[in-house]
Amino acid sequence: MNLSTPLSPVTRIMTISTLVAAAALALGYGLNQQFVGSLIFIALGLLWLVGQRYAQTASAGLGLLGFAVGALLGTLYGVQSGWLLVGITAALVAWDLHHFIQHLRINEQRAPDTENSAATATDTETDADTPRLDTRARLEAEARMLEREHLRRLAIVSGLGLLLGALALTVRLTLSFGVIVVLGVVAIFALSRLIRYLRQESD
Amino acid sequence: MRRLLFLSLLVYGLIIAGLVMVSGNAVALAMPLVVYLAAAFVFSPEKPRLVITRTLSANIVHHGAPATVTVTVHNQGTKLEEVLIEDAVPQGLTVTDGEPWTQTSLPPGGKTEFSYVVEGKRGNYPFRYLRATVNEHLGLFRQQGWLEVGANLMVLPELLRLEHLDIRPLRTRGYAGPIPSRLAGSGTDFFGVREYQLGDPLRWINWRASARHQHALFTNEFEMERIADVGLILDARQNNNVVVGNDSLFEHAISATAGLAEAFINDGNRVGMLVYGRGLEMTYPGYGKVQRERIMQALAHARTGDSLVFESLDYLPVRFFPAKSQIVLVSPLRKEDLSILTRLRARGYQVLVVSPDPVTFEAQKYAPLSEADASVQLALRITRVERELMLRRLRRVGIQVINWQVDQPFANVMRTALVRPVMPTNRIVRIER
Repeated sequence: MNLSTPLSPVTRIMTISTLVAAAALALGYGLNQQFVGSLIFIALGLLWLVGQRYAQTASAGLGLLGFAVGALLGTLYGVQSGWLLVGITAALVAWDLHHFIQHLRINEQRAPDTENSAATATDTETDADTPRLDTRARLEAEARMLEREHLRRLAIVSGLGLLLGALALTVRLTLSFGVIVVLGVVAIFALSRLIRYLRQESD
Repeated sequence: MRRLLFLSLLVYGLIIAGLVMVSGNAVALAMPLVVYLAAAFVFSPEKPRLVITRTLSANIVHHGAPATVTVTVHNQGTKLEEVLIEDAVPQGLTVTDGEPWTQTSLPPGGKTEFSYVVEGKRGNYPFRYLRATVNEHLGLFRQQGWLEVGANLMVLPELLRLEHLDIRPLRTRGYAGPIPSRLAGSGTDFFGVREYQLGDPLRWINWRASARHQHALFTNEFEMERIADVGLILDARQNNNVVVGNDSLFEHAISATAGLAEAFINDGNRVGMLVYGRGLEMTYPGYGKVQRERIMQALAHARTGDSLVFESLDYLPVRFFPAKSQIVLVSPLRKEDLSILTRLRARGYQVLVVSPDPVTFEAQKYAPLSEADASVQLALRITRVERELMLRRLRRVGIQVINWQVDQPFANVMRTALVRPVMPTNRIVRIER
């Protein structure tokens, strides 16, 4: 069974997100007169697209990491934060869809090639007498349903993330050094808790 | 899990970097990632409460027949956004249609069902576990567990169908059947002549014999036809088995035994079976369809095995078979078996040996080599001669031996070998002078 045709909307959205991420960061750096940075992000975006084309799982992680580091450096170089926020959100969407497509590809490999099996079925009397199960239709329906649900959830999450990010960029709070230290300690504590949780889960 | 760790580290990296750089913008950049993580956490799946049933279209199927497995999943817990149910198909079964898994979304109280078709070789296939994997739509948090849902599929051996088999055991049972009983009574075959007794039907009077005597009448007698006790012995000794590629001589022996059992039971005989190899696996003698199923199931389970005790046929439990009954041994045979078979014959058993030919079977393995290699040709020839001599010695003691080359149709071989000898007719030979 070939699931690639019905998956094409997801693939399209992933490609568009990658291009948007690269374009947003390149534009942000470009508007800040840092053309080397623009070139780097265009190259990074293209490399990620190649990775997506050849189903390289690692390319998704590296792509998101590259764009996140780029966005972080952008704040240091004074790149306009709106571009950075759009870039990192689009990169997150592309990263998620890259993994989602990989996940569905595993199912695609599991799925039977019912057309071929139906062709061989006529060779034997037993198979010819047996009613064929409509597995292809069932799997495709399930894949479509999961795809819809995933895109819906992703759209809400990325929209909300973008909104909250924009809100965080506009609202200014002045924190004292003590509060920053406390927040840092809380962050480290939370990180250690997370790692402990993940280790428990993996056991 | 790796994705969750990666994303968490990225979020913390951005936040800590923002704190170090004292930059609110850097912290704000982490916001989409934080929302993504938070959404995944909020919708992370609870431990699923699933009630799964697995039903088979048939628990017992014949060789080559498909069985449809249907798995029904009921969700008795909270909503499962993405649930993957995978059935662990027992090793040896092949999925010929459908898929043994489904991935779907299940609301509380929801139900899903999937089916697939399996086929397999002879044997017993216990289905036990299903794996359920549940995650939220973003795929960061996951719960996985194995659920035990038992079912059993038995694939009966391939049946080589046979027509009626002519056997002549010394003793028959009291019920009417197809086997000549060597006793006078009602029947169809002429048995002898005796003096007329009151009550004999007139059409039974032998007028030709009566005409030779003035004051006596003679009546024809017919041979009674009865059923018999048949004991099948399947040789499952590992040393006697020959395996060439994926083909095993033992499997042919199983199919032959199944065919013999069915033919004897269809004739109304009382049939028992003994699988001799790993141990003694006995199916006690019985009649009819139930007995047929018992024997087929025993054959479905039969495996070759090594045992020091049962290395030779010396420990054959002879008392398992009624005295003077018909014994059918299905075995490739080896030299050491001659003595016990001779002893069985001496005790009054009518012994029939169906011997799948291991020499010809194994020769397939050397077929490409044998054409070129004279030594292989010579070795094969010597082995064939040795086997022929062994079979001749068995025939000499009154044991019927059928040397079955497994590439030949078993029914044809049996029909040729067990054809009832035709009695010579009285023919007048005129000599022309």
